[in-house]
Amino acid sequence: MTVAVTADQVAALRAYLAGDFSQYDRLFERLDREAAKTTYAALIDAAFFEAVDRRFAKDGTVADVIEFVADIRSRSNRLSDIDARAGERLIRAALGDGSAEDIDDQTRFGTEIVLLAGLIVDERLDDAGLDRFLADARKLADSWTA
Amino acid sequence: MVTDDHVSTLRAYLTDDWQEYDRLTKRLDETGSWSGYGALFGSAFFDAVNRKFAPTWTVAGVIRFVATVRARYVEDPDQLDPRAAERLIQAALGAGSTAELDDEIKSAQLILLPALIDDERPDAAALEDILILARERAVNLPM
Repeated sequence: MTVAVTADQVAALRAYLAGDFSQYDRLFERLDREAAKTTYAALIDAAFFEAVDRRFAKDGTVADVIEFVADIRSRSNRLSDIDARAGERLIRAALGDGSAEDIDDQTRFGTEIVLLAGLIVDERLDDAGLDRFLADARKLADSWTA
Repeated sequence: MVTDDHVSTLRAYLTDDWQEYDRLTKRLDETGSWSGYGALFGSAFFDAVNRKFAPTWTVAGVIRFVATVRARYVEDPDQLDPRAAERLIQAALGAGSTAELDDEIKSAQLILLPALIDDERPDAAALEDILILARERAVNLPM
């Protein structure tokens, strides 16, 4: 049976990336927990992969990755708790440099979603742009879980 | 007790004079007279951090500086643990006690101190002033 990303999952991630955290909390609460572990997680992974690719694949350096993660961590007290090394490793693994397999799921997704939000903010997407980005991420996630 | 040899060793370290550094550290090894160097190094680190960040420092500023050191100053960014480096700098700024920091965290200063000094770009005279002040502070530390 093919398990695909659902519209609810996309809506939840969209709310997070648009900075509407109360909407995000509401929508996330309603997500099926089992599905969230597979397809929602795949959606976050895919969105992270896409956003990292857009930002760093062409001419990003290891130094750029380090400074980007530091920039995110410096934006608030809560964000400074993000594990710098885990963040750097996740970005570099998404670019094909090294592996982040040993990072536990909670750290992985908690870190990815925060960095993803930072990458999206920096891209200054309008509503249509964000929708297109999420549609691409959804397609990619579905291809992984097919 | 901080000796002239300790000061010379630190000067060689901070000016990348590795031939001199090797010569002096060998002598310290042979005579078993390292004691005092740690206090000198720590004092120089404390002063350099405070020159750079005090009085109005922010966590954000510390995070960004450590990232710059890892991104631009060292060959391998994994040589410097970012959390250890941030904690150590913050302790030197009065946030958190150095007594709680283990040796691994303190070793971050081996990379951070030359990076901080390089940032200041002191000429020879200014570097001497830095070393003199560090020595004075180290000598006055409670034993």
